[in-house]
Amino acid sequence: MKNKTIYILFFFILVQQITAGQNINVLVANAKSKIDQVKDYKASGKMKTNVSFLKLPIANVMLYFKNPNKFKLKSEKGVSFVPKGSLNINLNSIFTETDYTIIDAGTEKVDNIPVRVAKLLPNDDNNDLVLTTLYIDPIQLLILKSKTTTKENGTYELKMNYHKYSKYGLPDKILFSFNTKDYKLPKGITFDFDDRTSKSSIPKTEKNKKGELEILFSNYEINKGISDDMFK
Amino acid sequence: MLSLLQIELYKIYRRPRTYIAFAAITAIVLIFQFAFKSDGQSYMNLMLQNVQDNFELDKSKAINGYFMCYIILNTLLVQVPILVALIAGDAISGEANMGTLRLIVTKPFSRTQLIIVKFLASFIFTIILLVWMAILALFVSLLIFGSDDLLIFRVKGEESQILQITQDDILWRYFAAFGYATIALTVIASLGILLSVFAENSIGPIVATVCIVLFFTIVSNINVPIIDKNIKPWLFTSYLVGWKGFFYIGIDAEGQPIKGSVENWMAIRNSLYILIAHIGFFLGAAIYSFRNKDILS
Amino acid sequence: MKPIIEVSQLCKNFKHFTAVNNLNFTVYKGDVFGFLGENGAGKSTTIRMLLTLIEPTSGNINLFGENLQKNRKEILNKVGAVIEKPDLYKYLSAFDNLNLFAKMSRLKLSKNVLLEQLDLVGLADRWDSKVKTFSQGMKQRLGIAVALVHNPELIVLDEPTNGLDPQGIADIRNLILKLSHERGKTILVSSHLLSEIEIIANRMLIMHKGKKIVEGDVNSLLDPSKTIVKIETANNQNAFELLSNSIWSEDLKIIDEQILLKIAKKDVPNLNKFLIQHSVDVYLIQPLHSLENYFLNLTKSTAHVESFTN
Repeated sequence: MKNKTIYILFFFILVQQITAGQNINVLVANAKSKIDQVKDYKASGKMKTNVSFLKLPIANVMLYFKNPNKFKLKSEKGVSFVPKGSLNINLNSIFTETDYTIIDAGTEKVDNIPVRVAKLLPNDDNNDLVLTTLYIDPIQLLILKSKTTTKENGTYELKMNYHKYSKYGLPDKILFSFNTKDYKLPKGITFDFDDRTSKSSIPKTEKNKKGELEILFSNYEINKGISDDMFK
Repeated sequence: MLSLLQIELYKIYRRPRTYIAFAAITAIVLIFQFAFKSDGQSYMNLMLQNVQDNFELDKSKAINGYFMCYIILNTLLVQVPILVALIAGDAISGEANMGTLRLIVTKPFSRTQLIIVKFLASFIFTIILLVWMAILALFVSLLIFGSDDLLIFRVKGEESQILQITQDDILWRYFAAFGYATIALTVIASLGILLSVFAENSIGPIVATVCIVLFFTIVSNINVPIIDKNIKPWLFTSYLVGWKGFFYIGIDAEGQPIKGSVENWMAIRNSLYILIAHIGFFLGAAIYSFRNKDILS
Repeated sequence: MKPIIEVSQLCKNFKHFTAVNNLNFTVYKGDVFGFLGENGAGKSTTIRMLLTLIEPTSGNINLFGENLQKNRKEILNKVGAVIEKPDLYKYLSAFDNLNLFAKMSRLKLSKNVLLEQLDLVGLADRWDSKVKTFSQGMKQRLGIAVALVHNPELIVLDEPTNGLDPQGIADIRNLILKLSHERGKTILVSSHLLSEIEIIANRMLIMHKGKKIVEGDVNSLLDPSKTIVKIETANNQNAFELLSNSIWSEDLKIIDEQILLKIAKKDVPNLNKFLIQHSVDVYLIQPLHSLENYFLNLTKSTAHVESFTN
């Protein structure tokens, strides 16, 4: 019985070793190489926008990627609001910058899965990218979460769930969080119909300035070749 | 009564003034379409404000036929009352001015019938005017700009919103909106007829109708709480823009628009009731006054 | 003779004045009834009450033997009227105007019938011209055509010659006579000119300040053998009452506190004797010569009074 406990303890230490002990540079490189299998893809999915002032229906979107950094998010039909910096939805583009320094920021948990945290600092000061933080599952070599800080477009957070396409490092679900500014039209410009119900409908606290974009992927076509015209 | 209505419509059809209204609408709509065709982006920029800092939007898609129609209605429905007043304010006073009122009144039908016929003629004129507007503002815009989802920029209480209505959910809203606008403009028509009973030239009632509408509209747009609460509900002009209610799409708990829904049916219904009550009141007052009027013109 | 218009005790008060004061008169079938009075005498108000344009304050109007208020529609179907100058629908042609009013009377008349109507008023050659191109006289004639389009039994013309040139006046006059003689219409025509009434009317009524002064046969009223005398006495009221109970009561009037009496010239001395016998102090018995003179003096009553006071 004592032995068993020791074995179990040993097992945990081993896992801990695998999780924490791997060189962070190697881990990032491994995760990158997993993603690099994908030369191009075309994906379809449903995009849901959660921004307090935007009341948009769920949109059917198409996502296109081509090595090294061509990316496009298109709504199949209709008008779509695409958050700036949504380029970062695509993990591949995180690694397009080769010249960065990786800092090991320890371990953490994302949805109860232990992850290693890596901070990527571009060496070029003129880069829009200030900092990217990756939360990598060291066992499956999947990036579960990333945080990107840019000079121009603020901070984004990306959370990913993997299922069907995990061997290509492609998520089934993405939750993209970003900062938005508050939207305020001057009263009177729109000659609105006042139905006298709107006075107390929205508590002030709900005026969050975080926006969320959720994409559920239904299908990927991987490495089938995509014409450059798609990205114009 | 039907033959009398035919005669009234014939008169409206034959008089040059009628076509001022149609020409004005045509000109305004065409100018709008031209302006947005050449520089709709600026308008979009104004409405989107800082949203563009965070979002990319295909503005050329957003400026589509449905959007154009909404923009045109938004502006034009402020001006169209003037055009309706042009016909309705002339209904009785114009006849008085031409010296035909005393001829008509000696014809074998009652004064009540005459007012009702004048009212119906103005009503039909209003419908035709709106149909013309719908053809130009909606269908011609769709031809020029194509069809796509409609973005509604709305100030709701303290909040500003952008609502997106998918293109398969729009057309019925326009039909409902034009229907509502017909009722709203009929209020103007019945006010014009009421005022025209008291005058012997058509300028007075036309100007008076327009002034009342403008005055009320300005007051109902002052946006000061004390006016919003105490005065605005009593001004019929507050309800003229109720057609927009059809474009305030219902939102579910997750903030997604619910297809085929309207945020507040009750508000639209109540506005309609208020407008119809105004029509009844103005028309009743017109009949009462005209029945008891000595025709001295 | 069948009465067409019967007016009794008709009054109309406006806010600040009485336009028509206790008016009584009768128009018979076939009459050309002259309605004489200066501007503002109450002629137009009376005519408008006959046509239900103005509601009487009190009194009764019967047309075709029926109460006007109660049988308005039926009665008005038998009446055609031209009141002052109708401008009509300027943007329509003469023909379209006429057709429109025919339709208002629920008539569907053929083009030929309508053109005949226009021919009657001498506008057949201009049937297709817009009314805005018409002269005042042409508009007036078109107005009459409109009044006649539903073939009414009674025609009411309010100052039909007002503002017309001499040719226009002659045209209207001939038209009235034609309508009366050839078509047997009953016509009520108002004017402020005696000369006009004299030519066309067979019966007449003179109004002054809302009251009837005299009503009767044009021929007998204008009979040159009779004259109107103005009587001034120490007490006009007493003298008036006295005369009211005499043989002259029928042709007696008191207007602006002046006693007026229509009397054969040869009877004037008898009148004088009668007054003196009844102890009336007579200051003046002045013949006013003719109805025309009388009417002219009435319309210039202030000047007339002044000529006495000076």
